[in-house]
Amino acid sequence: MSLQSRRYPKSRAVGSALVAAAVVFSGLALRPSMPAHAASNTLLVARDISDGKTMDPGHSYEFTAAVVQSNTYDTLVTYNGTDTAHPVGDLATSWKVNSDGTVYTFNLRKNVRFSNGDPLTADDVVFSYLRLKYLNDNPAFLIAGATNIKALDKYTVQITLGAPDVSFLAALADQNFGVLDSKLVKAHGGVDSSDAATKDKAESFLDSQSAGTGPYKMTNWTRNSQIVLERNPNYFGPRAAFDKIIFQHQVSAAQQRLLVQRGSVDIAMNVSLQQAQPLLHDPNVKVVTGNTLDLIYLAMTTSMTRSVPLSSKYVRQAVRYAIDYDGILKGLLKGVGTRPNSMIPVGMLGNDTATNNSLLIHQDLNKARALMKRAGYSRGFTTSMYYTVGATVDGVAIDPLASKIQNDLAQIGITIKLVPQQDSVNLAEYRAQKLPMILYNWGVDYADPDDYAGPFSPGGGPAKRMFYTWDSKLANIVAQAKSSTDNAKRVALYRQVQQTWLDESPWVGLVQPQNIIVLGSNIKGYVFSPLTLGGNLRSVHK
Amino acid sequence: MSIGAVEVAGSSAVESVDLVKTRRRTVWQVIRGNPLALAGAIVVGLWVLLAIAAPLVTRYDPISAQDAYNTLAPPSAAHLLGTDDNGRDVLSRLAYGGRASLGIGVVVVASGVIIGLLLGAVAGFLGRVADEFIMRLADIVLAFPIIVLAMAISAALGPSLINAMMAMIIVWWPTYARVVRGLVLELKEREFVTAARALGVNEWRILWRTVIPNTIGPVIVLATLDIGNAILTVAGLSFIGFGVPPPNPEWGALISEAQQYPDQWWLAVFPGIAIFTAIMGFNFFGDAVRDALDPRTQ
Amino acid sequence: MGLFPYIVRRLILTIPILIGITLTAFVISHAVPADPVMANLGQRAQDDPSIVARYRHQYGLDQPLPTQYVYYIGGLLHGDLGISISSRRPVVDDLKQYFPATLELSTAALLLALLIGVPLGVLAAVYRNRLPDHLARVLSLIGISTPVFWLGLVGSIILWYHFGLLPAPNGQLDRSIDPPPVVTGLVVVDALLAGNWTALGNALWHLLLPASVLAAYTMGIITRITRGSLLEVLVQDYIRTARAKGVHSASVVLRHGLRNAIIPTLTLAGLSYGSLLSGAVLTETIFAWPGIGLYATRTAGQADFPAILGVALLTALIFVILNLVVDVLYAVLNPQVRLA
Repeated sequence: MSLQSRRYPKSRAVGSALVAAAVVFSGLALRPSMPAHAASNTLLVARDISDGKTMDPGHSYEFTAAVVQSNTYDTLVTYNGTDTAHPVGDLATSWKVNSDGTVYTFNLRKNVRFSNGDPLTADDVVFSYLRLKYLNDNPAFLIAGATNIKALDKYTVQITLGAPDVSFLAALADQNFGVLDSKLVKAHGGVDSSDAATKDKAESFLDSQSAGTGPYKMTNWTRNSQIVLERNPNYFGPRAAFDKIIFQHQVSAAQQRLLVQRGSVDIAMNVSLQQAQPLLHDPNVKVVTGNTLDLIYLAMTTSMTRSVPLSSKYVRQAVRYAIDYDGILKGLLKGVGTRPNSMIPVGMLGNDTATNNSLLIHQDLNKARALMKRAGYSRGFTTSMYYTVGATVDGVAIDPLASKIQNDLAQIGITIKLVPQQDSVNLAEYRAQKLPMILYNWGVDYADPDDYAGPFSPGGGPAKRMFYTWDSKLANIVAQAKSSTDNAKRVALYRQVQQTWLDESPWVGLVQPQNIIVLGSNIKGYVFSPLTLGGNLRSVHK
Repeated sequence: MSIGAVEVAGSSAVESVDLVKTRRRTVWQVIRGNPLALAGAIVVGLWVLLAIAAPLVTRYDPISAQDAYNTLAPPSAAHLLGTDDNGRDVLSRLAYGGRASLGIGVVVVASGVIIGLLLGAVAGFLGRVADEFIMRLADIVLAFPIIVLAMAISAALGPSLINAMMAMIIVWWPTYARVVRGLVLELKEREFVTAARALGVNEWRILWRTVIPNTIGPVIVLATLDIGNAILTVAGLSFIGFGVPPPNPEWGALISEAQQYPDQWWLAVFPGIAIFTAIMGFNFFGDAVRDALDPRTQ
Repeated sequence: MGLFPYIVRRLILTIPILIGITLTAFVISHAVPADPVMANLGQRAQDDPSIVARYRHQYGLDQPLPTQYVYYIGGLLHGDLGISISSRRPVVDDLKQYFPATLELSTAALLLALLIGVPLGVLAAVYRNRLPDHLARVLSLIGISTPVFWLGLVGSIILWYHFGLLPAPNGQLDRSIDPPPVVTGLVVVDALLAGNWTALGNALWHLLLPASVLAAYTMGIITRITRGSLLEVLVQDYIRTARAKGVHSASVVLRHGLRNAIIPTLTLAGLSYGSLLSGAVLTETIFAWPGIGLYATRTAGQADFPAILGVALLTALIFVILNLVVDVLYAVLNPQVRLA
């Protein structure tokens, strides 16, 4: 080829390369200089919001909904910070309960306005609660015990229960009891009649904006992208600190951590334990940990149709003695988290620290093997353990936990076949009573031991899944504890429940996680509230 | 990921492999003549060796040798490539993981080749209805992006090794079917086929004894180049959780586990190097084989 | 045959494919052993058979399978892809929300792959067996050998976390920047249309790494194909003739060689678009790019039938259409093909 010809294709190639380079560098050059921290009148929160299905308090049953609603709606009663024992009034200024615990009368705060200016009256409360009940969706069970809800006058609401339920007041703090603006919701197709399940049309409206009295109002929700809250100018309480709060969707815990370290976000809500370690020495961030009321647990079937070995209570006891709890809590979790003795969180009525410590089982392989022998399985057996692949529950990675348990049980001759599945598949099979063993978690509904004793004792949902039944003498113990107004009596009953669980139940309580919230160093006033998984941002300012 | 590429590469392979004038060289001659091919063969050989001889290379079991108090440890004398979030030895998981990554890659391609070869030969040889039917089937399967189809199948049937492989094989055969069909169509008109027919040889015998054997050459070339894609696909599927299920080691799954630990570079770097070098090795070698069969691109 | 009959014939052949696609997707997603409705209800709600029955009825899951399929096809013809069980929205709306982001990412990746791959391929062919050729071939090999998710992960950690050169892998735009009004859904285009230079710059900056990572594989293939085709063309008789006649070498390469060699490249580019859409699944996962790849992963994990079907159908449809377009273009450029 002549010298001349070489230039032509070459310069063409060079030209293309220059164009490509130009594109690349223009991208770099045009980028704005990154602000060290997000603008001071906006709060940016990194959170995995993929679980969000709806923001309608009448329908929602997901953590993200609760997080958002805790800032946009108010309830009759609520809790201050981490004190989950004493409800305080929010929309209710005072209340009375009649002598047999079946009639609750609430006096409402006056001069409260919804975010659009409409005034709050007892009718809004009645509407919201009736709608919750008659929509008959996931959260309807919370109000199922109410036989009558009515407004006595403009600022008084009365709720009548079919049977006494000491946990009812606690339940009322749950986000699903957020009070809706009945006028606005009705205008968008909301109804509270008994056929609300088919007639109500307001859900999609409430998914696009909130209709509450809280310090913020939700103005935008783009699924798996972001949720935008703006200040509610009509809030009755102290003025909200931010013009806007934006929840930015971010699944990766590692990236959340990096974002908050770099100041790209102000708060990271899903940082896991492993990522939080290096943050403890980083002056740019503050790591807040708070005890949750959630539980990570192992469930074993009691039915011979699912697993002959596990149907023996001695085998289940053996499993309880075989697990290396210290390895889990101090090794894998580096000491972050609490160990419940069974299925009531530590700190709840009926399981204070002293009680918990007195009931705790510790790893004892010899005892475990002896129990296996007693059950007739000295040569071990094989079974399957199901768990949710890739899940991180309250900062606890489930994959390594499952592997660890498999390893621990191998020490006493139990060969575990790990079956990692997607959450939806697991839950479906769990519900269908198909599983021999599952590593799963329980999220708190309300701050009362009944939220645990009920479901995990025979008759409750999870208990049914594992075919759990017990002696007829114990048949009423949970109902009694639920309706007794005598705290001492309740404590005694719950102690008995826990002891029974430890003896024969399907459950192994593994961890009561500590949730980890990472804040930028300029964030002030944050208080961790376990019932909203740390999502309540009302007191935050910069 | 590879569909378009293999197909276009296949068509140029078809053109470039002149079946009558091919200079047949042995594999050994190919390697000797081309240093890159040699390097490629060595690298692949090393990984295969590591995978097979894993128990000899490391004393740690890849799944059960856990140490809850020594998780996420950097490379050290005790753990040459560090430990993961269960305290398991990364080198061990890398070695045993090679069994899955390489093994599945080879099995999938081999299965795809066999099925594709048979179906493509039938389609090309019989023509008409069989041809239309098989080609439409191929079109339908090829219309779905591999990953989405594999995800759908794995989601439907549950994540397991078998399901992932099945999903991949379903997506793998059409390309080979198409290539073989094209080859067969061309071969059908050749003299030796016409001659065999004139002699009254049974159609199936013609297909089986003369046509198919002549398609194997180019198909093998394609397959060698394709194994890299299969490994990439397995790794990709495992990465998003629809391939090899945890806690089983596989190179893509290892990288997925590494996502959550950006400070622990050893978790991501080593499996990535493994995939990268293994595939490069296959590609170098495959390129050399293809070049060897095509006198024009010397 | 003429061009028009060829197009019609191809169109008609597409129909059984489309039917086959919908049938396949439908069959697959209904092979799920788990019951997605149960899984999408809260733990306690499933105690109530009336809630469960209502859900099943709402999503038509209480009908026999063939009936469900017929309803589905009928709905498809009306543009109805059903309602996603996990987002409770029409799947079409979900897809409308997520698709533009994938389109943006894939288009940018394809452009990058072409911009880098074609010149590299040309260089490699022209300077065959010399340094530029070796360099180009190594680069292209790296592109096709490196897992895209690894490239993205490591690239992101190094370039963002350690050096701060690139933005956080959190989508298309920084949250602190007001997004441009949505016209096409492609943030870069929308920003351009609105004249919002800040947003444009930021969007390009966010797009850079994901698009580059996604482009790597296709770039590798394009380089090889361009090189290969150009090489073949360069030794053809008519090129030799042109050269022998003294035609300027460069214009020889340009007018005759490249133009004919581009055909396979373009074909490949068209077909790659489809595979880019699926490669985007991995890239979108790493960079939290809100596209259909991310959507597919999420919904597949939740056994959300309508959603998976929707994504599968959409991508298959695009691929089929692309094939059609590419075939027709090929037929236009190369009349011999129409005889097949």
